[in-house]
Amino acid sequence: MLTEKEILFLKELNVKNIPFLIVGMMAAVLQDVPLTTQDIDLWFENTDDPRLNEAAQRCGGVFLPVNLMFQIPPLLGGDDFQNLDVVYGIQGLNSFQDEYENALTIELAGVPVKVLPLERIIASKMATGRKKDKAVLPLLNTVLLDKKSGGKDGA
Amino acid sequence: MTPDEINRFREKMTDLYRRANDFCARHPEADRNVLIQSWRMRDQTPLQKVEFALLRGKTLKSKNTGKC
Repeated sequence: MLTEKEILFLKELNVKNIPFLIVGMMAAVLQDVPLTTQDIDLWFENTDDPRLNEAAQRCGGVFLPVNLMFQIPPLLGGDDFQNLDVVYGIQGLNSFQDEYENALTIELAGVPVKVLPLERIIASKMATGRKKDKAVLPLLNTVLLDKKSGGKDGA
Repeated sequence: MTPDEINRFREKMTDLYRRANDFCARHPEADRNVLIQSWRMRDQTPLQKVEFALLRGKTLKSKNTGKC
């Protein structure tokens, strides 16, 4: 799934104490939702932080901040950076700080990462309202209910 | 990445987003993020092919595997 350089990048973020959250479907997969997804969506508190590019370059990649002229969101690039996406502006959520304080800590490829809880993923997908988001809501809600009831099915 | 590689990446992405913006201006129903993901995942798939498939409401297929 993740390349070695991508894993190294996540470690670098922790070393540099750069706060980030894993959101989107990978956040759900990490909480036992039985779906597949390829991309890992990263939400940063401040995408203008120069340490992001330092961390990326240390791992052989590059971090480009938002380009307002061409409406280009922040981007991670490099040959071995194919699975990490930077999200810019998430609907249905509170401030980064609020969500970060209530995030779960889960290990991803041996790296402890902060992950948006299932309830908040659902809130985000409901607010976004795209067809592909609506389509997964029943499954997300089912897993959430199962977890709250003790997870007898081992979802 | 070398400075040249970084510049090439920046130029490539600028071009990609510019073309995607143009497409979305003509087709407001299109999801720019999905369009760009399709482009990046399919490595150099001509945007016209993506446009053609979206207009026909078809699921895009990977050039390499034939899988959706």
